[in-house]
Amino acid sequence: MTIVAVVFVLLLVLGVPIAFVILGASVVYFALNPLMASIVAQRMASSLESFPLLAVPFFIVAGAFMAHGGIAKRLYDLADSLVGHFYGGLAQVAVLNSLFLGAMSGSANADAAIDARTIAPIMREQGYSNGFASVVSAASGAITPIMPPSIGLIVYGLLTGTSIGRLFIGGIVPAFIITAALLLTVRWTSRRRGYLPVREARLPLSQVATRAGAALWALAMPVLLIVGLRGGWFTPTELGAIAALYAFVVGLFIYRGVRWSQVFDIMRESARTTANVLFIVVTAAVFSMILALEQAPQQMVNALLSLSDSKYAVLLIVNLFLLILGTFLEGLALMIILVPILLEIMQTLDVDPVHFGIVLVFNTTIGSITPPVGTVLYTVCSITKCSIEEFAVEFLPFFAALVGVLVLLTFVPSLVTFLPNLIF
Amino acid sequence: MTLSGAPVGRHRMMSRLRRILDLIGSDLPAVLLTIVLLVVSADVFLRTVLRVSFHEAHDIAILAFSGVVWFGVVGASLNNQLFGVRFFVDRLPRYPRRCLQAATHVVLILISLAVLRAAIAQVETARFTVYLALGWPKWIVSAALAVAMVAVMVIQIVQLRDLWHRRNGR
Repeated sequence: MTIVAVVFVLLLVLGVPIAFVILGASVVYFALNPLMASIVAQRMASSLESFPLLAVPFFIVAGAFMAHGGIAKRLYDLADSLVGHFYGGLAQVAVLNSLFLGAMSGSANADAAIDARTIAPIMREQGYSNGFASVVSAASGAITPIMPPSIGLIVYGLLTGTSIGRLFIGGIVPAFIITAALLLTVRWTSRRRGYLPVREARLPLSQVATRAGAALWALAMPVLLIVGLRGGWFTPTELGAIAALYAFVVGLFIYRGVRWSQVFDIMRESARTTANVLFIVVTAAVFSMILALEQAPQQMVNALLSLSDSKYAVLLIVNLFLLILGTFLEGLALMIILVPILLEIMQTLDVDPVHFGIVLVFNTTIGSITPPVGTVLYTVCSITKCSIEEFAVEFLPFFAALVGVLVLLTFVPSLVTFLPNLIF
Repeated sequence: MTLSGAPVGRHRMMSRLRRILDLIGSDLPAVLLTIVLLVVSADVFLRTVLRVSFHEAHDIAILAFSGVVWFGVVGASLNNQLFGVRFFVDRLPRYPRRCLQAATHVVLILISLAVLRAAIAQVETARFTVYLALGWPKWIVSAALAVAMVAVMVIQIVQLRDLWHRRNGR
C-alpha cells in the first residue's frame, strides 16, 4: 500500500492526468498480484454498466446547448435586471447567473467556464481586477453542483443507493443559501474596492418582466424537472435526456442561437467532456476496490469513531479532513474513493444520507476551487490567464463565505432535509 | 518538397494519422452519444405516450455509453483536455520541464499498456456473460477499452515526437 501511495503522489506531482494517476497507482497494486491483472479492466467496464450514470452526459449535452443556444444569454440578461444595480453589479450578475445555470447544468466546471469566457472579460474591461473576476467565476461555480440537476449528487446517489430525486430536492435550499452568501461577499468586497453598480437605479418592473418573459423557455426547464420527477413520468436519468432534447429544441428552433452546422461540433465537445469526467469516475472505482481489499474502510471507521461518538463532532472532523484532501485531489475521485467508507460511519451515527450527500458534494466542490489543486481553479485560470497566487489571495473572503455555509449546512440538517421530507 | 520527398510524405502520413485519431476520439463518441440520447428519449416516449416497451434501449444505451467514455478519452488526450495538475511542472525552467513532459508521455504509455493487457485478459476470460436483451457478449466493452488504450499510446508517441521536434527547433 505504501508503494501505491508513493506512486500516486509521484504521478500527481509529475503532471500526469488525474485519471491516469489513479489508474497508474491501481496498476502498480495489481502488478504485485498478477493473478488479479484482468481485474482492472473488469472493474472499469463494470463501473460503466450503470443506467443512472447516463444522466452525466445528458446534463453535459443540455449545458452545452444552453450555452450555445441562447438560453445562457437570456438568463444573464434576467440576472442583470435583478441585481445589476447593486455594488459590484457585474460580479453579482455572475453569481445569480450561476444559480440559474445551475438549475439546468450539473457541472461546476461547465458553469465556471461559461462565466470565465463571458462575464470575466467584461468585468476586466469595467475595471475589476483579473483575480477578482476569475475568483467570482470559480466561486459562483460552487452553486451548480448543489442546485439540481447535479452530476455530483447523481454519483453520490449511485454510490450510496440514496434517492436521486430526494437529493435533487434537498439541494434547492442550500443552493439559495450559497448564492446569498456569495452575493453578500461580492457586495462587501466591491464596496471596499469601489466596484460600482452596472446602473444607478433598479430597472423598472416592466423591463424586468420583459426579460423574464424572454427567458421563459429557459426558466420552464427546472419546472419540468420537478414536475417530471414528482409525476413519475421519468426517472432522474431519463429527465436528463429530456432536458438535453429540450435545450436542443429551444436553442435551435425557438431562440435560434444554434445552427444545424454547429450541432455535431457541440456533440463532439460534449462527448469529450463526458469522457474526461467519467474516466475519472471509472478509475476511481478501481482504486476504491483496492481500499476495500486493504480493509481501509474498517480502519478508518474505527479511527474516526474512537475520536468521538458525537454525530456533529465526527461530521466536523470529516469536513476538515475532506477540505484538506480536496485541495489536493479531484472532487469526484475523492467522493468515489471515500463515500463507501464514510457512509458506514454516517449510518452508525444515524446521519441522514441526503443531508450528508449535500454536505459532502459541497465540501468537495470547495476543494475543486481551492489552490493548489482544483479542476475548477485550473479551468478558470487557464481561460482568464490568472496566476494561482493572485487567485489564492482574492479567493480568501469567498473561501470564508463558502466554509461558513458548509458549517451552517453541517450543523442545521433541516436546511437540507426539510424540503425532501415535505415533498416525498 | 525536398530532394527525397520524404518530409512531405511523412507530413501527409502524420496528418492522416491525426485524422484517424480524431475520428476515433471525437467523431465516433459524438455519434455514440447521439445514439444514447435518442435511444433513452425514444424509450421514454414509447413508454409514457404509446405504452409500448423498448427492451433493448437499456442495453444499447449502456453499450454506446461505454464507447463514449473509452473513445472520448482518446479525443480528450489528443486535444490535451485531460485534467491534470500542472502546478509543479509549470514552475520549472524550460529544460527540466520538457524532460518531465517527456517522462509524463512515457508514463502514460506504460499505464495504457498495462490496461491494454488487462483488457485483453478480460476479453479472453469473460466469454460467457451477455447483454440480456441484445444477446451480445459483454467482452465488447473490454475490447473497446483495449482499442482506446492503443489509440492513447499512439497519441503519446506522436506528442513525444512533437516535443522532440520542438526541442530541435523544427
